[in-house]
Amino acid sequence: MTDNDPDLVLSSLSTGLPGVTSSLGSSMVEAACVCLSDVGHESGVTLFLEGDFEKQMKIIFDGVDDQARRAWADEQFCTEFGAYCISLLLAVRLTPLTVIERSRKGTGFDFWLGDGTEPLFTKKARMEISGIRRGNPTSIKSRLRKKKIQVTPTDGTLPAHISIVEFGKPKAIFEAK
Amino acid sequence: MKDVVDLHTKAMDLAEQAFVSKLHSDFIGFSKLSLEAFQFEKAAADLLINSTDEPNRSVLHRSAASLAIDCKEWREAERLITRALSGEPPVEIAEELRDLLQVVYFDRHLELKGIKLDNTELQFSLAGKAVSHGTVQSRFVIDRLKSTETLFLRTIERKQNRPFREKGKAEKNLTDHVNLYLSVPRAASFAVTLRLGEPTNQLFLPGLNYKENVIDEVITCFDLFNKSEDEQLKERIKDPSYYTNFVALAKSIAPDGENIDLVGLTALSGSEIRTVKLTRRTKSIALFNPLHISIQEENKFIVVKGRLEYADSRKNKAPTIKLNDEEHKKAYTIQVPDGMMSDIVKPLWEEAVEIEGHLVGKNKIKMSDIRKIEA
Repeated sequence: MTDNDPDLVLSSLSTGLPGVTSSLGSSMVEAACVCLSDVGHESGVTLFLEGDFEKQMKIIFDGVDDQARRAWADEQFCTEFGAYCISLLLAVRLTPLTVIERSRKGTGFDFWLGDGTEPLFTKKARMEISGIRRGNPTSIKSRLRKKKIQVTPTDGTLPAHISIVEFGKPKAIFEAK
Repeated sequence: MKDVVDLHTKAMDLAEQAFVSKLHSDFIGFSKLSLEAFQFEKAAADLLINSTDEPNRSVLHRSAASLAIDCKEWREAERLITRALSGEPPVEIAEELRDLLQVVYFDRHLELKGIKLDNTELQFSLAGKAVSHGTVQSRFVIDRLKSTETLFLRTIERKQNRPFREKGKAEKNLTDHVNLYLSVPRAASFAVTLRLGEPTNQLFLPGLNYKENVIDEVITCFDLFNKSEDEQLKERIKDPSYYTNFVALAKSIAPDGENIDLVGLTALSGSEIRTVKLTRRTKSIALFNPLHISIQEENKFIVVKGRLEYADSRKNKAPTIKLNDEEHKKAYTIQVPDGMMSDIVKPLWEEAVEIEGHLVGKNKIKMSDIRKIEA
C-alpha cells in the first residue's frame, strides 16, 4: 500500500507485518470489520483522519458473519483489536517505519515501530493505540488528552505515536510524539 | 542478544497463537500455548536480569509477567514485575508495571482467603489509583455500594415478576428484608462483604428461593454484562425497563479506568466459588444500541453540561428533567428513557452533570446517557 493509494484495505493486514503474524493480523482485521459493521457502516465508508495528517480515505472491508460476531462479543476487546488493525495500517501508510516488534501488555499486545536496524525495542517508537466503538467529540478529545499525558516526552520516556480510532464516524487521530 | 531475540520471537509467536485459540473458544489450547509462551519469555527476561539495557529489560519482564498472569502464575508475575521495577525502566513502562502488579494483587484478593461466605453474601473488591491497602477514597466506594444495593432490590423485584417501578420507593415489606449489610473492610485492594438481610418470612418473597437465587442471579448478570453478551443478558432480563436499569446501574459500578481500574465480585453458588472481575470501562458502555438511532437523529447528537434542577415523572407523562446550562445561559428539557429516572437520574438531583442525547426539538433532548461531573 502506498500513500497514493486512497483506500485503506483492511484485508492487507491479513498477510502480516514483520512484527505481526498473519494469523494475528487476520484476527485484527476481523475485529475491525465487526466494529465497522456493528455501527452500521459498509465497505467504502470514509475515514476522517486528523492529527499530524489531515486527509480522508475509504475503508475497504469484508462483511462479517454471526460466527465472527460471536467470537468478538466482548465489545471492549473487539474495539481494542479493531483499533490495532486501523492504527497499524495507518502507521505503515503514514510513516517510513513498519511494525517491527511486539510484546505482551495486559490483555493485549504492545506494538513497536522501527526500521529493523536495532534488535528488540531499542530505538523504536511505541504505538499508543486506543479504540472507541462509538464516541462523541468530547470522548475522543478526552482520550487523546489522556494518551498525551501518558506519553509526554521527558527524559527517560520513549518516543511514541498516538493513534485513536473511533468507529462511529469513523475517525482516526494519528500523532507522533 | 541473539538468544534473547530468538526466545522472545518464539514467545510472541506462541502468545499470538494462544490469543487466536482463546478467540475460537479453545481454552485448553490457550492455557497450553500461554504456558509455553510464558516459559520462553521468562527465559528471555532472565538473560537480561543483570543488564541495564533499557527498554529491553523492562519490556521483556512486563511481557513475561503479563503471560504469567494469563497462566495464573501469580508469584512468578509478582517476581518479574518487582525485578523489572528494581532496575531503571522508562517512566511509562514503570507505570504499566505498577498497574500490572495491582492486577496480580487484585486477582489474589478476589480469592476469599479464609473469609467464609454463605449464599446470602458477596465479596465486593475495588482496585485502582484511589485505593490503597485496605482504604479507598469514600466517594468511589459509596456510590458503587448504593448502586449495588439498588441492583439487588431491582433483581428481587424482577425475579418476583413485579412490573418495573418507575417512581416511588420499593414496598416497605420488601426493603425491610433486603437491607444490605457491610462487613468491616478488609485490607486487600479494598474488600468488603455485602450481606443481604435474611427474610424472616418467605411469604414476603413468593416464588423466589431467596438464599440460593438472588446473589447467583446478580453474579450471572454481571458476568454476561462484563462479557458484552447483550443478547443473552436481554434473554435473562426480558423487560426493557429492567434491562436498561440493570445496564445503567452496572455501568455506575464499573471501573472508570482512572481512579478505579477493577471491580470484583466473589460469591458462593452452591459449594462453588464464582468470581466476576468487572473490567469494562464506564466510558465504553453504551446504554442504548446505536443502531436504534436514525441517521437524522445521529446528526443531532449533542452533549450538554449543567445542573439538574427539575424532574417531572407524573403519571401518564414521559419522565422529563430540566438541565440548566449556566455557562451558556440555556435550559434544556430532557426526556428520560424508561428504567432510569428513579435509580440513575434522581440520585443526581442538583448535581452538575453531563448529558448525552439527541436534539428532538428546540432545547429538547432525548437522553441516552447521564453522568456526574466530578469536582
